[in-house]
Amino acid sequence: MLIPDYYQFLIHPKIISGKCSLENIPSELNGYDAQKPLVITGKNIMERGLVKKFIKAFYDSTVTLGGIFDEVRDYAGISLARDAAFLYKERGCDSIIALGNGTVVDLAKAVNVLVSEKIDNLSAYHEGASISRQLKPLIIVPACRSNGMEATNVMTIDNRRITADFLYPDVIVIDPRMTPGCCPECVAESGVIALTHAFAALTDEAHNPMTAAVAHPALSYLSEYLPKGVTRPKNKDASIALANASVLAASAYSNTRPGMADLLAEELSIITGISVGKYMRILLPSLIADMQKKKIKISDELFLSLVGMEAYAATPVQERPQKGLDAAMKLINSLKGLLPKSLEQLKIQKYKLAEVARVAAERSAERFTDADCRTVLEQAWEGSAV
Amino acid sequence: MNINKYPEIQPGKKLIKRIYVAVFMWFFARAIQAAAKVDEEVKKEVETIPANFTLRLIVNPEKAFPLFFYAKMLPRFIVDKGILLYGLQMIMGKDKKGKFRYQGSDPRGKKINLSMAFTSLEAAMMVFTFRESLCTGYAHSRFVVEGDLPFAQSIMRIMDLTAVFLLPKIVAKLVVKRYPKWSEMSPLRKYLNRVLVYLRMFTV
Repeated sequence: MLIPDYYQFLIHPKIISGKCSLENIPSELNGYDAQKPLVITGKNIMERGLVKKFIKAFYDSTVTLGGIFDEVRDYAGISLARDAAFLYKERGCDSIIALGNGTVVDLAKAVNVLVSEKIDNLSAYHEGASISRQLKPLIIVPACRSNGMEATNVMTIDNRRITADFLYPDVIVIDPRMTPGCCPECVAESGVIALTHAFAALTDEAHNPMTAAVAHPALSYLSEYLPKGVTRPKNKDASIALANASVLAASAYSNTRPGMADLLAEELSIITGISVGKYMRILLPSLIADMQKKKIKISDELFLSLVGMEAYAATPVQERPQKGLDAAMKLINSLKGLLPKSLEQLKIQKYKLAEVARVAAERSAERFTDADCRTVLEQAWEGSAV
Repeated sequence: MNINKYPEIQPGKKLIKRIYVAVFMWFFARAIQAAAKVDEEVKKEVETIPANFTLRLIVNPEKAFPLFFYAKMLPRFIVDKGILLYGLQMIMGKDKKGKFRYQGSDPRGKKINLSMAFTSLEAAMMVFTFRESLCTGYAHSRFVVEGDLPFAQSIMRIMDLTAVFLLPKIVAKLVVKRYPKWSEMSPLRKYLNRVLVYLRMFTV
Protein backbone atom coordinates (compact mmCIF):
# COMPACT_ATOMS: atom_id res chain seq x y z
CA MET A 1 0.00 0.00 0.00
CA LEU A 2 1.36 3.42 -0.97
CA ILE A 3 2.02 5.95 1.75
CA PRO A 4 0.88 9.42 0.65
CA ASP A 5 3.50 12.18 0.84
CA TYR A 6 1.08 14.48 2.61
CA TYR A 7 -2.59 14.53 3.48
CA GLN A 8 -5.18 16.18 5.71
CA PHE A 9 -8.42 14.64 6.89
CA LEU A 10 -11.22 15.96 9.07
CA ILE A 11 -14.51 14.23 9.80
CA HIS A 12 -16.59 16.01 12.37
CA PRO A 13 -20.18 14.88 12.79
CA LYS A 14 -21.01 12.19 15.27
CA ILE A 15 -23.20 9.68 13.45
CA ILE A 16 -25.98 7.88 15.31
CA SER A 17 -27.71 5.33 13.14
CA GLY A 18 -30.28 2.63 13.85
CA LYS A 19 -33.48 1.89 15.74
CA CYS A 20 -34.63 4.51 18.24
CA SER A 21 -31.85 6.92 17.26
CA LEU A 22 -34.18 9.90 17.43
CA GLU A 23 -34.65 9.32 21.15
CA ASN A 24 -30.93 10.03 21.60
CA ILE A 25 -31.33 13.65 20.49
CA PRO A 26 -32.31 14.99 23.96
CA SER A 27 -29.25 13.38 25.56
CA GLU A 28 -27.01 14.69 22.75
CA LEU A 29 -28.43 18.19 23.23
CA ASN A 30 -27.85 17.82 26.93
CA GLY A 31 -24.18 17.13 26.16
CA TYR A 32 -24.01 20.53 24.47
CA ASP A 33 -25.86 22.14 27.39
CA ALA A 34 -28.82 22.89 25.10
CA GLN A 35 -32.48 22.52 26.07
CA LYS A 36 -34.46 24.41 23.47
CA PRO A 37 -33.79 23.64 19.81
CA LEU A 38 -35.40 25.30 16.81
CA VAL A 39 -36.55 22.70 14.29
CA ILE A 40 -36.17 23.62 10.63
CA THR A 41 -37.96 21.43 8.13
CA GLY A 42 -39.62 21.41 4.74
CA LYS A 43 -43.23 21.49 3.61
CA ASN A 44 -42.97 18.03 2.06
CA ILE A 45 -41.70 16.53 5.34
CA MET A 46 -44.65 18.11 7.17
CA GLU A 47 -47.10 16.75 4.58
CA ARG A 48 -45.67 13.23 4.89
CA GLY A 49 -46.38 13.25 8.65
CA LEU A 50 -42.75 12.77 9.66
CA VAL A 51 -42.84 15.77 11.99
CA LYS A 52 -45.41 14.08 14.26
CA LYS A 53 -43.15 11.03 14.62
CA PHE A 54 -40.23 13.36 15.25
CA ILE A 55 -42.03 15.20 18.08
CA LYS A 56 -42.94 11.88 19.73
CA ALA A 57 -39.23 11.14 20.08
CA PHE A 58 -38.98 14.07 22.51
CA TYR A 59 -41.67 12.73 24.86
CA ASP A 60 -40.45 12.14 28.39
CA SER A 61 -37.49 14.45 27.97
CA THR A 62 -36.73 17.86 29.42
CA VAL A 63 -36.29 19.40 25.95
CA THR A 64 -38.79 21.99 24.69
CA LEU A 65 -39.03 22.56 20.95
CA GLY A 66 -38.72 26.30 20.36
CA GLY A 67 -40.77 26.08 17.19
CA ILE A 68 -41.07 24.12 13.95
CA PHE A 69 -40.14 26.34 11.03
CA ASP A 70 -41.58 24.46 8.04
CA GLU A 71 -41.33 27.03 5.25
CA VAL A 72 -38.42 25.47 3.33
CA ARG A 73 -39.10 24.35 -0.24
CA ASP A 74 -36.64 23.79 -3.10
CA TYR A 75 -34.66 26.98 -2.63
CA ALA A 76 -32.67 28.24 0.38
CA GLY A 77 -32.43 32.02 0.42
CA ILE A 78 -31.22 34.61 2.88
CA SER A 79 -34.67 36.12 3.51
CA LEU A 80 -35.99 32.77 4.70
CA ALA A 81 -32.88 32.33 6.84
CA ARG A 82 -33.50 35.74 8.42
CA ASP A 83 -37.09 34.76 9.29
CA ALA A 84 -35.91 31.56 10.94
CA ALA A 85 -33.15 33.44 12.79
CA PHE A 86 -35.76 35.91 14.07
CA LEU A 87 -37.89 33.04 15.36
CA TYR A 88 -34.78 31.52 16.99
CA LYS A 89 -34.00 34.75 18.86
CA GLU A 90 -37.61 35.50 19.88
CA ARG A 91 -38.05 32.04 21.36
CA GLY A 92 -34.69 32.04 23.12
CA CYS A 93 -33.50 28.85 21.43
CA ASP A 94 -30.00 27.49 21.98
CA SER A 95 -29.55 24.91 19.20
CA ILE A 96 -30.85 23.94 15.76
CA ILE A 97 -32.23 20.68 14.40
CA ALA A 98 -32.57 20.27 10.64
CA LEU A 99 -35.19 17.66 9.79
CA GLY A 100 -34.75 16.91 6.09
CA ASN A 101 -32.09 17.16 3.47
CA GLY A 102 -30.62 19.50 0.89
CA THR A 103 -32.10 22.97 1.17
CA VAL A 104 -33.34 22.35 4.73
CA VAL A 105 -29.79 21.68 5.89
CA ASP A 106 -28.39 24.60 3.91
CA LEU A 107 -30.94 26.90 5.53
CA ALA A 108 -30.20 25.50 9.00
CA LYS A 109 -26.47 26.16 8.49
CA ALA A 110 -27.22 29.71 7.34
CA VAL A 111 -29.46 30.34 10.36
CA ASN A 112 -26.73 28.95 12.59
CA VAL A 113 -24.20 31.42 11.16
CA LEU A 114 -26.66 34.34 11.50
CA VAL A 115 -27.52 33.61 15.14
CA SER A 116 -24.02 32.59 16.26
CA GLU A 117 -22.22 35.52 14.63
CA LYS A 118 -25.10 37.92 15.46
CA ILE A 119 -25.35 39.32 11.93
CA ASP A 120 -28.26 39.69 9.52
CA ASN A 121 -26.68 38.85 6.16
CA LEU A 122 -23.96 36.62 4.77
CA SER A 123 -22.41 39.07 2.29
CA ALA A 124 -19.11 39.22 4.20
CA TYR A 125 -18.70 35.44 3.83
CA HIS A 126 -19.57 35.57 0.14
CA GLU A 127 -16.74 38.07 -0.23
CA GLY A 128 -14.22 35.76 1.38
CA ALA A 129 -14.39 36.36 5.14
CA SER A 130 -14.08 33.18 7.18
CA ILE A 131 -16.27 31.84 9.94
CA SER A 132 -13.89 31.93 12.84
CA ARG A 133 -15.85 30.74 15.87
CA GLN A 134 -17.70 27.70 17.06
CA LEU A 135 -21.35 27.87 16.01
CA LYS A 136 -24.42 26.72 17.97
CA PRO A 137 -25.04 22.95 18.11
CA LEU A 138 -26.53 21.69 14.85
CA ILE A 139 -28.19 18.29 14.60
CA ILE A 140 -29.25 16.86 11.26
CA VAL A 141 -31.93 14.21 10.81
CA PRO A 142 -31.81 13.10 7.15
CA ALA A 143 -35.17 12.46 5.54
CA CYS A 144 -36.08 12.00 1.90
CA ARG A 145 -34.09 13.52 -1.00
CA SER A 146 -30.41 14.26 -0.32
CA ASN A 147 -28.17 16.72 -2.15
CA GLY A 148 -25.06 15.05 -0.78
CA MET A 149 -23.82 18.14 1.03
CA GLU A 150 -25.48 17.64 4.42
CA ALA A 151 -22.49 16.13 6.19
CA THR A 152 -19.97 18.46 4.56
CA ASN A 153 -18.50 21.82 5.52
CA VAL A 154 -20.36 23.56 2.68
CA MET A 155 -23.60 25.53 2.59
CA THR A 156 -25.31 26.90 -0.49
CA ILE A 157 -27.40 30.00 0.04
CA ASP A 158 -28.87 31.93 -2.88
CA ASN A 159 -26.89 29.61 -5.18
CA ARG A 160 -23.60 30.77 -3.66
CA ARG A 161 -21.39 28.45 -1.70
CA ILE A 162 -19.66 29.13 1.60
CA THR A 163 -17.10 26.68 2.94
CA ALA A 164 -15.81 26.60 6.51
CA ASP A 165 -14.88 23.84 8.92
CA PHE A 166 -17.29 25.26 11.51
CA LEU A 167 -20.15 24.45 9.13
CA TYR A 168 -19.87 20.72 9.80
CA PRO A 169 -22.95 19.53 11.68
CA ASP A 170 -22.35 18.28 15.20
CA VAL A 171 -24.56 15.20 15.12
CA ILE A 172 -26.26 13.28 12.32
CA VAL A 173 -29.11 11.05 13.42
CA ILE A 174 -30.20 8.38 10.93
CA ASP A 175 -33.44 6.77 12.06
CA PRO A 176 -35.47 4.19 10.08
CA ARG A 177 -38.67 6.13 10.83
CA MET A 178 -37.36 9.14 8.93
CA THR A 179 -35.28 7.71 6.07
CA PRO A 180 -37.75 5.83 3.79
CA GLY A 181 -37.90 7.61 0.44
CA CYS A 182 -41.05 9.18 -0.92
CA CYS A 183 -40.57 7.89 -4.52
CA PRO A 184 -38.09 5.82 -6.59
CA GLU A 185 -36.81 8.97 -8.36
CA CYS A 186 -35.92 10.59 -5.05
CA VAL A 187 -34.01 7.47 -3.91
CA ALA A 188 -32.26 7.20 -7.28
CA GLU A 189 -31.17 10.84 -7.19
CA SER A 190 -29.80 10.62 -3.64
CA GLY A 191 -28.01 7.37 -4.52
CA VAL A 192 -26.43 8.81 -7.67
CA ILE A 193 -25.14 11.84 -5.79
CA ALA A 194 -23.57 9.62 -3.12
CA LEU A 195 -22.09 7.39 -5.84
CA THR A 196 -20.59 10.37 -7.66
CA HIS A 197 -19.07 11.75 -4.47
CA ALA A 198 -17.60 8.41 -3.41
CA PHE A 199 -16.37 7.81 -6.97
CA ALA A 200 -14.63 11.23 -6.94
CA ALA A 201 -13.03 10.43 -3.58
CA LEU A 202 -11.63 7.08 -4.77
CA THR A 203 -10.56 8.04 -8.29
CA ASP A 204 -8.82 11.29 -7.33
CA GLU A 205 -5.06 10.95 -7.76
CA ALA A 206 -4.49 12.59 -4.38
CA HIS A 207 -6.86 10.38 -2.40
CA ASN A 208 -5.54 9.21 0.94
CA PRO A 209 -6.14 6.13 3.12
CA MET A 210 -8.70 7.95 5.24
CA THR A 211 -10.92 9.10 2.37
CA ALA A 212 -10.66 5.61 0.91
CA ALA A 213 -11.66 4.09 4.25
CA VAL A 214 -14.78 6.26 4.37
CA ALA A 215 -15.69 6.00 0.68
CA HIS A 216 -15.30 2.21 0.67
CA PRO A 217 -18.35 1.37 2.86
CA ALA A 218 -20.35 4.05 1.07
CA LEU A 219 -19.78 2.32 -2.27
CA SER A 220 -20.40 -1.13 -0.78
CA TYR A 221 -23.76 0.03 0.62
CA LEU A 222 -24.68 1.61 -2.70
CA SER A 223 -23.73 -1.44 -4.71
CA GLU A 224 -25.86 -3.69 -2.50
CA TYR A 225 -28.82 -1.47 -1.65
CA LEU A 226 -29.29 1.09 -4.44
CA PRO A 227 -31.10 -1.30 -6.84
CA LYS A 228 -33.22 -2.59 -3.92
CA GLY A 229 -33.98 0.93 -2.66
CA VAL A 230 -35.06 2.09 -6.08
CA THR A 231 -37.53 -0.76 -6.52
CA ARG A 232 -38.79 -0.49 -2.91
CA PRO A 233 -38.30 3.08 -1.64
CA LYS A 234 -40.07 2.37 1.67
CA ASN A 235 -37.78 -0.55 2.55
CA LYS A 236 -36.22 0.34 5.90
CA ASP A 237 -32.96 -1.62 5.51
CA ALA A 238 -32.28 -0.13 2.10
CA SER A 239 -33.17 3.38 3.18
CA ILE A 240 -30.93 3.20 6.27
CA ALA A 241 -28.05 1.83 4.16
CA LEU A 242 -28.49 4.55 1.53
CA ALA A 243 -28.71 7.31 4.14
CA ASN A 244 -25.48 6.00 5.69
CA ALA A 245 -23.87 5.81 2.25
CA SER A 246 -24.87 9.40 1.58
CA VAL A 247 -23.36 10.65 4.85
CA LEU A 248 -20.16 8.63 4.40
CA ALA A 249 -19.72 9.70 0.79
CA ALA A 250 -20.23 13.33 1.80
CA SER A 251 -17.62 12.99 4.55
CA ALA A 252 -15.11 11.55 2.07
CA TYR A 253 -16.02 14.16 -0.51
CA SER A 254 -15.46 17.08 1.86
CA ASN A 255 -11.88 15.85 2.32
CA THR A 256 -11.10 15.46 -1.34
CA ARG A 257 -11.04 17.61 -4.46
CA PRO A 258 -14.32 17.66 -6.42
CA GLY A 259 -14.39 15.39 -9.46
CA MET A 260 -15.25 16.46 -12.98
CA ALA A 261 -18.82 15.12 -12.81
CA ASP A 262 -19.43 17.04 -9.56
CA LEU A 263 -18.12 20.32 -10.95
CA LEU A 264 -20.03 20.08 -14.21
CA ALA A 265 -23.26 19.02 -12.48
CA GLU A 266 -23.03 21.90 -10.01
CA GLU A 267 -22.47 24.46 -12.77
CA LEU A 268 -25.35 23.08 -14.84
CA SER A 269 -27.59 23.07 -11.77
CA ILE A 270 -26.81 26.72 -10.99
CA ILE A 271 -27.61 27.75 -14.59
CA THR A 272 -30.82 25.75 -14.98
CA GLY A 273 -32.12 25.22 -11.45
CA ILE A 274 -32.55 21.47 -12.07
CA SER A 275 -31.30 19.24 -9.24
CA VAL A 276 -27.67 18.10 -9.21
CA GLY A 277 -28.66 14.42 -9.02
CA LYS A 278 -30.25 14.41 -12.47
CA TYR A 279 -27.10 15.84 -14.02
CA MET A 280 -24.84 13.45 -12.16
CA ARG A 281 -26.81 10.48 -13.48
CA ILE A 282 -26.11 11.74 -17.03
CA LEU A 283 -22.53 12.92 -16.52
CA LEU A 284 -21.07 10.03 -14.51
CA PRO A 285 -21.49 7.39 -17.27
CA SER A 286 -19.96 9.84 -19.78
CA LEU A 287 -17.04 10.47 -17.45
CA ILE A 288 -16.53 6.73 -16.88
CA ALA A 289 -16.63 6.07 -20.63
CA ASP A 290 -14.07 8.82 -21.16
CA MET A 291 -11.81 7.37 -18.44
CA GLN A 292 -12.09 3.90 -19.99
CA LYS A 293 -11.21 5.30 -23.39
CA LYS A 294 -8.19 7.19 -22.09
CA LYS A 295 -7.20 4.25 -19.86
CA ILE A 296 -6.69 6.53 -16.88
CA LYS A 297 -4.96 4.80 -13.99
CA ILE A 298 -7.19 4.59 -10.94
CA SER A 299 -7.08 2.82 -7.60
CA ASP A 300 -8.31 -0.79 -7.57
CA GLU A 301 -10.20 -0.02 -4.35
CA LEU A 302 -13.12 1.09 -6.48
CA PHE A 303 -13.47 -2.47 -7.77
CA LEU A 304 -13.05 -3.98 -4.31
CA SER A 305 -15.72 -1.77 -2.75
CA LEU A 306 -18.24 -2.34 -5.53
CA VAL A 307 -17.97 -6.10 -6.06
CA GLY A 308 -16.61 -7.48 -2.78
CA MET A 309 -13.61 -9.54 -1.81
CA GLU A 310 -14.36 -12.75 -3.73
CA ALA A 311 -14.68 -11.19 -7.18
CA TYR A 312 -11.75 -8.89 -6.40
CA ALA A 313 -9.49 -11.81 -5.51
CA ALA A 314 -10.56 -13.74 -8.62
CA THR A 315 -9.58 -10.88 -10.96
CA PRO A 316 -5.99 -10.35 -12.19
CA VAL A 317 -4.32 -7.26 -10.69
CA GLN A 318 -3.92 -5.37 -13.97
CA GLU A 319 -7.62 -5.75 -14.85
CA ARG A 320 -9.01 -4.47 -11.55
CA PRO A 321 -9.06 -0.71 -12.28
CA GLN A 322 -10.91 -1.19 -15.57
CA LYS A 323 -13.30 -3.70 -14.05
CA GLY A 324 -13.96 -1.18 -11.27
CA LEU A 325 -15.10 1.33 -13.86
CA ASP A 326 -17.27 -1.35 -15.49
CA ALA A 327 -18.87 -2.14 -12.12
CA ALA A 328 -19.59 1.55 -11.47
CA MET A 329 -21.15 1.86 -14.94
CA LYS A 330 -23.27 -1.26 -14.32
CA LEU A 331 -24.48 0.13 -10.99
CA ILE A 332 -25.49 3.48 -12.43
CA ASN A 333 -27.21 1.81 -15.38
CA SER A 334 -29.26 -0.33 -12.97
CA LEU A 335 -31.37 2.78 -12.39
CA LYS A 336 -32.94 2.16 -15.82
CA GLY A 337 -35.43 4.80 -16.86
CA LEU A 338 -35.88 6.58 -13.53
CA LEU A 339 -33.81 9.65 -14.38
CA PRO A 340 -33.15 11.39 -17.72
CA LYS A 341 -30.40 9.83 -19.81
CA SER A 342 -29.08 12.81 -21.76
CA LEU A 343 -28.76 16.56 -21.45
CA GLU A 344 -30.83 16.81 -24.60
CA GLN A 345 -33.76 15.21 -22.75
CA LEU A 346 -33.46 17.97 -20.15
CA LYS A 347 -33.66 20.53 -22.97
CA ILE A 348 -30.24 22.04 -22.33
CA GLN A 349 -29.13 24.18 -25.25
CA LYS A 350 -25.87 22.95 -26.70
CA TYR A 351 -24.28 26.41 -26.86
CA LYS A 352 -24.39 26.65 -23.04
CA LEU A 353 -22.04 23.68 -22.68
CA ALA A 354 -18.94 25.64 -23.68
CA GLU A 355 -19.46 28.15 -20.89
CA VAL A 356 -20.15 25.39 -18.35
CA ALA A 357 -16.97 23.56 -19.42
CA ARG A 358 -14.94 26.76 -19.10
CA VAL A 359 -16.17 27.56 -15.57
CA ALA A 360 -15.75 23.95 -14.39
CA ALA A 361 -12.19 23.81 -15.78
CA GLU A 362 -11.38 27.07 -13.97
CA ARG A 363 -12.78 25.73 -10.69
CA SER A 364 -10.80 22.51 -11.00
CA ALA A 365 -7.49 24.32 -10.43
CA GLU A 366 -6.01 23.03 -13.71
CA ARG A 367 -6.74 19.39 -13.01
CA PHE A 368 -9.09 19.21 -16.00
CA THR A 369 -8.79 21.15 -19.20
CA ASP A 370 -11.59 22.95 -20.98
CA ALA A 371 -11.40 20.35 -23.77
CA ASP A 372 -11.72 17.42 -21.30
CA CYS A 373 -14.85 18.93 -19.80
CA ARG A 374 -16.34 19.67 -23.21
CA THR A 375 -15.77 16.08 -24.41
CA VAL A 376 -17.64 14.72 -21.40
CA LEU A 377 -20.42 17.27 -21.75
CA GLU A 378 -20.93 16.55 -25.44
CA GLN A 379 -21.09 12.83 -24.79
CA ALA A 380 -23.60 13.53 -22.00
CA TRP A 381 -25.67 15.73 -24.29
CA GLU A 382 -26.13 12.82 -26.67
CA GLY A 383 -26.38 10.30 -23.84
CA SER A 384 -24.28 7.84 -25.84
CA ALA A 385 -22.52 6.36 -22.78
CA VAL A 386 -25.74 5.49 -20.94
CA MET B 1 -43.20 37.79 10.44
CA ASN B 2 -45.88 36.23 12.64
CA ILE B 3 -44.07 33.93 15.05
CA ASN B 4 -47.34 32.61 16.49
CA LYS B 5 -47.59 30.53 13.34
CA TYR B 6 -44.79 28.38 14.75
CA PRO B 7 -45.85 27.57 18.33
CA GLU B 8 -43.51 26.33 21.01
CA ILE B 9 -43.97 22.61 21.61
CA GLN B 10 -43.78 21.01 25.02
CA PRO B 11 -43.50 17.27 24.35
CA GLY B 12 -45.86 15.03 26.29
CA LYS B 13 -45.46 11.87 28.30
CA LYS B 14 -45.73 8.18 27.50
CA LEU B 15 -47.66 7.10 30.58
CA ILE B 16 -48.12 3.40 29.77
CA LYS B 17 -44.45 2.94 28.99
CA ARG B 18 -43.52 4.71 32.22
CA ILE B 19 -45.73 2.39 34.23
CA TYR B 20 -44.37 -0.69 32.43
CA VAL B 21 -40.75 0.28 33.12
CA ALA B 22 -41.51 1.14 36.75
CA VAL B 23 -43.28 -2.19 37.32
CA PHE B 24 -40.53 -4.13 35.53
CA MET B 25 -37.78 -2.48 37.59
CA TRP B 26 -39.62 -3.16 40.83
CA PHE B 27 -40.16 -6.84 39.98
CA PHE B 28 -36.62 -7.27 38.68
CA ALA B 29 -35.04 -5.64 41.73
CA ARG B 30 -37.03 -7.83 44.10
CA ALA B 31 -36.11 -10.88 42.00
CA ILE B 32 -32.39 -10.05 42.22
CA GLN B 33 -32.75 -9.68 45.99
CA ALA B 34 -34.43 -13.07 46.15
CA ALA B 35 -31.91 -14.74 43.81
CA ALA B 36 -29.03 -13.45 45.96
CA LYS B 37 -30.50 -15.45 48.85
CA VAL B 38 -31.46 -18.57 46.93
CA ASP B 39 -28.84 -19.37 44.30
CA GLU B 40 -25.23 -20.30 45.03
CA GLU B 41 -23.81 -18.80 41.85
CA VAL B 42 -25.51 -15.45 42.46
CA LYS B 43 -24.32 -15.58 46.07
CA LYS B 44 -20.72 -16.00 44.86
CA GLU B 45 -21.06 -13.00 42.57
CA VAL B 46 -22.54 -10.92 45.39
CA GLU B 47 -19.61 -11.88 47.62
CA THR B 48 -17.20 -10.19 45.19
CA ILE B 49 -19.05 -6.90 45.68
CA PRO B 50 -17.73 -4.84 48.65
CA ALA B 51 -19.86 -3.83 51.62
CA ASN B 52 -21.74 -0.51 51.44
CA PHE B 53 -21.81 -0.79 47.65
CA THR B 54 -24.83 0.87 46.03
CA LEU B 55 -26.05 0.38 42.48
CA ARG B 56 -28.56 2.61 40.73
CA LEU B 57 -30.44 1.80 37.52
CA ILE B 58 -32.20 4.88 36.19
CA VAL B 59 -33.83 6.28 33.08
CA ASN B 60 -32.47 9.62 31.90
CA PRO B 61 -33.21 12.48 32.13
CA GLU B 62 -33.68 12.06 35.87
CA LYS B 63 -35.70 15.29 36.17
CA ALA B 64 -38.34 13.97 33.77
CA PHE B 65 -39.15 11.03 36.03
CA PRO B 66 -39.76 12.22 39.59
CA LEU B 67 -40.93 9.85 42.33
CA PHE B 68 -44.64 9.01 42.26
CA PHE B 69 -46.72 11.53 44.21
CA TYR B 70 -47.67 9.16 47.05
CA ALA B 71 -43.99 8.51 47.87
CA LYS B 72 -43.90 11.90 49.58
CA MET B 73 -46.84 11.03 51.84
CA LEU B 74 -45.39 7.79 53.17
CA PRO B 75 -42.82 7.42 55.96
CA ARG B 76 -39.24 7.34 54.76
CA PHE B 77 -38.49 3.77 55.88
CA ILE B 78 -41.31 2.38 53.69
CA VAL B 79 -39.91 4.17 50.65
CA ASP B 80 -36.39 2.95 51.37
CA LYS B 81 -37.51 -0.67 51.69
CA GLY B 82 -39.08 -0.54 48.24
CA ILE B 83 -42.28 -2.23 49.33
CA LEU B 84 -44.38 -0.34 46.79
CA LEU B 85 -43.69 1.15 43.35
CA TYR B 86 -42.24 4.63 43.75
CA GLY B 87 -40.66 5.64 40.44
CA LEU B 88 -38.38 4.84 37.55
CA GLN B 89 -35.27 4.15 39.58
CA MET B 90 -33.94 0.96 41.02
CA ILE B 91 -31.47 1.26 43.85
CA MET B 92 -29.82 -1.86 45.18
CA GLY B 93 -27.10 -2.07 47.75
CA LYS B 94 -25.04 -4.36 49.92
CA ASP B 95 -25.26 -3.48 53.58
CA LYS B 96 -22.63 -3.96 56.29
CA LYS B 97 -23.91 -7.45 57.04
CA GLY B 98 -23.35 -8.46 53.41
CA LYS B 99 -27.03 -8.59 52.45
CA PHE B 100 -27.80 -7.49 48.90
CA ARG B 101 -31.10 -5.65 49.14
CA TYR B 102 -33.47 -3.55 47.07
CA GLN B 103 -33.53 -0.05 48.54
CA GLY B 104 -36.41 1.54 46.66
CA SER B 105 -36.42 4.36 44.16
CA ASP B 106 -35.29 7.35 46.19
CA PRO B 107 -31.58 8.18 45.80
CA ARG B 108 -31.55 10.89 48.47
CA GLY B 109 -29.04 10.23 51.25
CA LYS B 110 -27.44 7.29 49.45
CA LYS B 111 -23.91 7.20 48.14
CA ILE B 112 -24.09 5.73 44.64
CA ASN B 113 -21.03 3.69 43.60
CA LEU B 114 -22.30 2.44 40.27
CA SER B 115 -24.89 4.14 38.12
CA MET B 116 -26.42 2.51 35.04
CA ALA B 117 -28.48 5.11 33.18
CA PHE B 118 -30.69 4.38 30.18
CA THR B 119 -30.37 7.26 27.71
CA SER B 120 -34.15 7.48 27.24
CA LEU B 121 -37.39 5.77 28.16
CA GLU B 122 -37.49 4.20 24.69
CA ALA B 123 -34.00 2.74 25.24
CA ALA B 124 -35.21 1.21 28.53
CA MET B 125 -38.25 -0.18 26.72
CA MET B 126 -35.99 -1.81 24.10
CA VAL B 127 -34.19 -3.76 26.84
CA PHE B 128 -37.17 -4.40 29.13
CA THR B 129 -39.40 -5.67 26.33
CA PHE B 130 -36.60 -8.13 25.41
CA ARG B 131 -36.03 -6.68 21.94
CA GLU B 132 -32.38 -6.25 22.89
CA SER B 133 -30.32 -8.14 25.47
CA LEU B 134 -28.46 -6.25 28.19
CA CYS B 135 -25.15 -6.78 26.37
CA THR B 136 -26.52 -5.67 23.00
CA GLY B 137 -28.15 -2.70 24.70
CA TYR B 138 -24.82 -1.68 26.17
CA ALA B 139 -23.12 -2.13 22.78
CA HIS B 140 -25.82 0.05 21.19
CA SER B 141 -25.29 2.74 23.86
CA ARG B 142 -28.79 2.28 25.25
CA PHE B 143 -27.35 2.82 28.70
CA VAL B 144 -24.30 4.48 30.13
CA VAL B 145 -22.35 3.05 33.04
CA GLU B 146 -20.66 5.34 35.53
CA GLY B 147 -18.63 4.28 38.53
CA ASP B 148 -16.76 1.11 39.43
CA LEU B 149 -16.78 -0.71 36.12
CA PRO B 150 -15.42 -4.11 37.27
CA PHE B 151 -18.46 -4.44 39.53
CA ALA B 152 -20.72 -3.62 36.57
CA GLN B 153 -19.62 -6.96 35.09
CA SER B 154 -20.66 -8.78 38.28
CA ILE B 155 -24.00 -6.95 38.25
CA MET B 156 -24.57 -7.90 34.62
CA ARG B 157 -23.90 -11.57 35.45
CA ILE B 158 -26.29 -11.36 38.40
CA MET B 159 -28.96 -9.82 36.17
CA ASP B 160 -28.45 -12.51 33.53
CA LEU B 161 -28.81 -15.31 36.08
CA THR B 162 -31.90 -13.67 37.57
CA ALA B 163 -33.45 -13.42 34.09
CA VAL B 164 -32.82 -17.15 33.62
CA PHE B 165 -34.68 -17.90 36.86
CA LEU B 166 -37.52 -15.47 36.18
CA LEU B 167 -38.33 -16.02 32.54
CA PRO B 168 -39.14 -19.05 30.40
CA LYS B 169 -36.31 -20.20 28.13
CA ILE B 170 -37.85 -18.80 24.94
CA VAL B 171 -37.87 -15.25 26.41
CA ALA B 172 -34.75 -15.52 28.56
CA LYS B 173 -32.73 -16.45 25.47
CA LEU B 174 -33.43 -12.98 24.12
CA VAL B 175 -32.30 -11.30 27.33
CA VAL B 176 -29.10 -13.08 28.29
CA LYS B 177 -25.83 -13.24 26.43
CA ARG B 178 -25.71 -17.05 26.47
CA TYR B 179 -28.39 -19.28 27.93
CA PRO B 180 -26.77 -21.85 30.31
CA LYS B 181 -26.63 -25.44 29.13
CA TRP B 182 -27.83 -28.38 31.23
CA SER B 183 -24.22 -29.11 32.20
CA GLU B 184 -23.88 -25.57 33.55
CA MET B 185 -27.24 -25.34 35.29
CA SER B 186 -29.23 -28.47 36.00
CA PRO B 187 -32.99 -28.30 35.35
CA LEU B 188 -33.60 -29.23 38.98
CA ARG B 189 -31.64 -26.21 40.20
CA LYS B 190 -33.27 -23.95 37.64
CA TYR B 191 -36.89 -24.93 38.37
CA LEU B 192 -36.43 -25.16 42.12
CA ASN B 193 -34.76 -21.75 42.25
CA ARG B 194 -37.44 -20.33 39.97
CA VAL B 195 -40.13 -21.33 42.46
CA LEU B 196 -38.10 -20.00 45.40
CA VAL B 197 -37.32 -16.71 43.67
CA TYR B 198 -40.99 -16.12 42.83
CA LEU B 199 -42.04 -17.01 46.39
CA ARG B 200 -39.44 -14.70 47.97
CA MET B 201 -40.25 -11.88 45.55
CA PHE B 202 -43.75 -11.52 46.93
CA THR B 203 -43.28 -12.63 50.50
CA VAL B 204 -39.99 -11.17 51.76
